Amino acid sequence: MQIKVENLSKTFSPGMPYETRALSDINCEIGSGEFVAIIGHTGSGKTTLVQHIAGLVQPDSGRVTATLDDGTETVISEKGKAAFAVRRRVGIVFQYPEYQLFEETVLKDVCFGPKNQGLDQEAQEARAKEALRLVGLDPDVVGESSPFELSGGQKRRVAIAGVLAVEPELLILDEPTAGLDPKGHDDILDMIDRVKEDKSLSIVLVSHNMDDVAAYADKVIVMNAGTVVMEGTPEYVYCERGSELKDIGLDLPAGPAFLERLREGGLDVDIRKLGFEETAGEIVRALKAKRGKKTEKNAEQQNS
Amino acid sequence: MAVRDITLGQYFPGDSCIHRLDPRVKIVCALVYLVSLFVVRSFWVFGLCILFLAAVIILSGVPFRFISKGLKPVIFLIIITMLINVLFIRTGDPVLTIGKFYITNEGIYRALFMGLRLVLLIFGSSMLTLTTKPIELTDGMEKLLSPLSKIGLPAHELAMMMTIALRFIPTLLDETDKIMKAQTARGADFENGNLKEKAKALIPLLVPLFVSAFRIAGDLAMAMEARCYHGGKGRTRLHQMKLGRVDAVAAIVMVVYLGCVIASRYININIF
Repeated sequence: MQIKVENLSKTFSPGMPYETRALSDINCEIGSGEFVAIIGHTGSGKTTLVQHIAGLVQPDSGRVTATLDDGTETVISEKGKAAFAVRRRVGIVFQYPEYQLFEETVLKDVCFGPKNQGLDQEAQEARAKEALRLVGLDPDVVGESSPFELSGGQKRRVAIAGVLAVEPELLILDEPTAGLDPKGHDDILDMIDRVKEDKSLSIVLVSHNMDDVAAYADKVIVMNAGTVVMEGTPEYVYCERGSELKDIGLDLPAGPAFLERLREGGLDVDIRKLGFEETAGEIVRALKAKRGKKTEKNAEQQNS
Repeated sequence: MAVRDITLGQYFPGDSCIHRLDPRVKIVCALVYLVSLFVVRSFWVFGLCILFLAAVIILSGVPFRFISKGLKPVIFLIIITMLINVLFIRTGDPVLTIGKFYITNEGIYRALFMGLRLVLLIFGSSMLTLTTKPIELTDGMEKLLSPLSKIGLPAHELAMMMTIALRFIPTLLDETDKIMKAQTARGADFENGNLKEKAKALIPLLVPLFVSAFRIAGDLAMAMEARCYHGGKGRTRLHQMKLGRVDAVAAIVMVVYLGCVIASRYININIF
């Protein structure tokens, strides 16, 4: 399934003193099987954009369309319409999703989505158990316990399982690691990456963590004040246009940030390297080159 | 986003003389105005009430569109009240007869009268909340009620409870909106279905909402204790309330207005 966002605009409380223009003229695409990251400041419109993509909000103008795998095109949201039918193809995990848990047992809670899709009891439970396994929980161990008894990280997994049980083709995650410890953070991201491969999902990740984005995303969409300011591969966004990114007050991932400091310190490095391996390689190369120059100089001095 | 469109109890930021009035004076004036609406006996005095309210609205600079939004949630109540008046008042001359059933001119007169009174009540009270910050409002109330603390009324505690309740209305509305969207994304349907199905559909909304409300309340209590809150005894204020010239003018205008309304009961100008 491919998602296309065209000229999307949204204003909250129009005509009121609290009027806020959340989105203005947004255009972007999410390809089938793609891992897209959306980055930007708090209040830059990231959450509003993903809510439109999930078909939960109606825009003032513009539209979001989905092209299904069989080639048919359906509207997910446009003025006066937020499509319920397409919603189940798009799953959305909100910030702090554990606050949506409500059932007596974990299994029942995860069954909520499939139940709303009209599946029978057996199929519901099969789906729920599979989803729990996908997020790394054993349904036989946690299935019958109350979701409110679990730890924070486990609650979040259950909530994500609740969305996965709907079997979406596109999974949107709005800051899924907010408030988790470093281990929980890595676990959740690895889990997302694994689920993406297992189920061949498209992923949209809203994040503040540039290292996660650099490590996992195929494409990065940068938002600022309700508009898309950049769109491209992590290499393009962080390396080619890193200085613009810093101008709107966003950070670089650890690699380029470190290389930049080295360059400020006088080492002649190319800052356009993203991963840890590449960064390390570049530092080694630069240091060797520097030593080479030194020996050249020494040789010259000896010759003269 | 229907939950966002509730005006009742919302503050409209501004810097008019109405906004700057001392909250105590404003509360008393609003109460006097609301009482005066029940003193009124004839339509032409309502004209005076409308003029007075219009003057306040113009002075405050709050757009009328914004005020009239407060009517939306109660429009149903107003219509029912008017219908009951029209249908059940049997005195007066029948103006419309369908078989055994008739409507009298007095019924229509009383219905319009009640309807107008309700609308003015809502506009009058929303002018108070629209031009006064919730904090000022509860501070004013606390000050007004403080003489009663001698006879055991916990004025400070009541005011604090109101402050907290008002403060958390938007928070809980946002929370409701968020949970609704999250459950909708899992296929919950809050709009369709019969009454029983609709009530059942609320469970996935209400349970998480209660859980969050308790969590927020616990956090708030902890934060207040961490900052040494121990009730109203010996507590001083950051903003002391002082009566100024505007307050005096407002009080005089109010007294004159109330005098006129009361006098109108004894002066018989019969237009209708």
